[in-house]
Amino acid sequence: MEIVVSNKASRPLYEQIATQIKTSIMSGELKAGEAIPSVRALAKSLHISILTVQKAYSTLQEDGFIETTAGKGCYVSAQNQDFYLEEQQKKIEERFSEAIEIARASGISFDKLIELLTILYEEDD
Amino acid sequence: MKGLLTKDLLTIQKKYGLKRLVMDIAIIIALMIVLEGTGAIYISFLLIPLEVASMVISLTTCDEQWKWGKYSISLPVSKTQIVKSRYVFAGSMALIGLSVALLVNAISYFCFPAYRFGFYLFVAIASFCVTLIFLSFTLPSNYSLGVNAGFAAMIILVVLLVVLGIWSKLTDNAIMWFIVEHFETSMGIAFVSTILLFALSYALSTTFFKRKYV
Amino acid sequence: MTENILEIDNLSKDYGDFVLDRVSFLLPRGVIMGLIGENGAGKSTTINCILNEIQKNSGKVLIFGKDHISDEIEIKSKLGVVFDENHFPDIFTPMEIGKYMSGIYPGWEWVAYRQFLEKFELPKDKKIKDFSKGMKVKLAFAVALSHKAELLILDEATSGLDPIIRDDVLDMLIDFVQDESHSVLVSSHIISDLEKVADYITFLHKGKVIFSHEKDDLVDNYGIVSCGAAIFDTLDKTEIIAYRKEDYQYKVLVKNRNKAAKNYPKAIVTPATIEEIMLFYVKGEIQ
Repeated sequence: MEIVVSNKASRPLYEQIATQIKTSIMSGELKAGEAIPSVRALAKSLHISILTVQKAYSTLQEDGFIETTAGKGCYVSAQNQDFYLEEQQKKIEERFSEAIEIARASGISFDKLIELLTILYEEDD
Repeated sequence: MKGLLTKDLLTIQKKYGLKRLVMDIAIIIALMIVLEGTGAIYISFLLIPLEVASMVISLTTCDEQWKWGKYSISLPVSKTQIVKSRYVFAGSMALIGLSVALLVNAISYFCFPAYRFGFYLFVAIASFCVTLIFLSFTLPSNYSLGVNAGFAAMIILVVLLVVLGIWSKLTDNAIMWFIVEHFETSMGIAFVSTILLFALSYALSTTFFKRKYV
Repeated sequence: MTENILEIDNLSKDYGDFVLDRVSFLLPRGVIMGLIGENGAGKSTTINCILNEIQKNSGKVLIFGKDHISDEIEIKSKLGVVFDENHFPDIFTPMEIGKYMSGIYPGWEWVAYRQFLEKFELPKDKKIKDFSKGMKVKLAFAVALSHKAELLILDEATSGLDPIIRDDVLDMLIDFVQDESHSVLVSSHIISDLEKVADYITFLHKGKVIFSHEKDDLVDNYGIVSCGAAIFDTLDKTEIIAYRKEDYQYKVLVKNRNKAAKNYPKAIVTPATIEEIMLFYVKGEIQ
């Protein structure tokens, strides 16, 4: 597992960690049932605050990506990722609907919309 | 307290070591050869108390140099324990001084018998008492006003001792004869009062030390 | 096991010209807390009161759930302290120091001590007077970590040390809190170090606690709004912590930078470092 984070980046550290672990899980890099480092061990490896990692892990747990069993450690959970993806897709649909409405109301073309989407997507990396 | 005693012991070993020990023995032997019978008296009343007191003062000097007072705040030792261990160590050094005094006086008795054996025994015990008196004054002085006060107290006591010695000689050793006649009483009085003085000194030092660090 | 390893409640000390005023904060188990503040803010005074080196005037201090004065000796056997000036008997060697420490600390572990001496590359049988400052600090850590201590208190322990040793020290602290029952209280000027590894930050200023927050809260949420007078006047005053009027602009410290960025798109909104936050509190106008 690779986690690349920087505290100089503008996104909060815990978000960076959570996102990367999520991506690894969804891409299949981290398999269901696989163990991930404990909160403290990860904090030590990354040289960051324990609370930061705790926050990242609790977001992951809330969204159903990992499970923590006392005494046994942290594991990638078996299911719920599809559910999460569905939820995220719904959110995107909502935002897109909003954008499309604005475009229609102001006469902005579909091609222009695609252009904007492309620029923004690339810019955010 | 064990750790504190270990520290004091290690400090003395390092500061004094073998060289000083050999030098002390050499001085003792020299004095006994040169002064014969009276050598034991000078050794018992001056050399031994001075050596013991100066060793104990050097422990206080080192502590001040090492800012031990500040560092020991973080250690699980109470202020009373710090002072107590120093007194226990000083008392032990005084007891070692006593054994040296006994040895020296015994040799003196056998080589240069000028008085009864009881007299030499008295001198050895008196040496121990003088040592304790020195310690009783120098230790609280150290704790209240620092190392220089301790030295000053020591010098004052030495001067008093020398004056006492001279006065004694002038009055034709009147004190000595009194002591020889009332041997047990003299020993008893001297011994008990110095122990009490030492205990009082410990109480005083504890008060000074507590006040200094809180 | 108590939840909070250190509880300070309304700690006060009056020195006449300087007053420690009802300092209160909690240090949970398993975390690192940075204690920051300018020189003379009261950091060392607070630590000295905790250690009972100076007598507090009022307030409660509980360590491991016990009163810091009545259970002082028991507490100190599980406490490791590293000061900025670590005075060791300079004629002693590390092994000799271990000898008397083993008679002082009931939980002394020779094996751990030897391992630390090796890890920090400290010569076991060399006199301390030949040690560099960095070596003395490492020795102080070796001692502090070799007697089953649960709480480490560092009082400006890394001032004057090069970045490499400071990094080593941070590693040691992280290692120390791998055990969930251990905590560290670090009083330091070197805020960049704390920014990396601290879990909590307590900020002391003129003898008062200004805040005691999770570090992430400060780093993730606080921000600096740079704007002109026009925008400054429109800012929501309840969101402002402090501001500084500079020659050509206003710099404003806000609690929630994401909110500020949304509400004032024309202003420049940047994250705030802990050092900047401190400067705003000390030099800025408080709202």
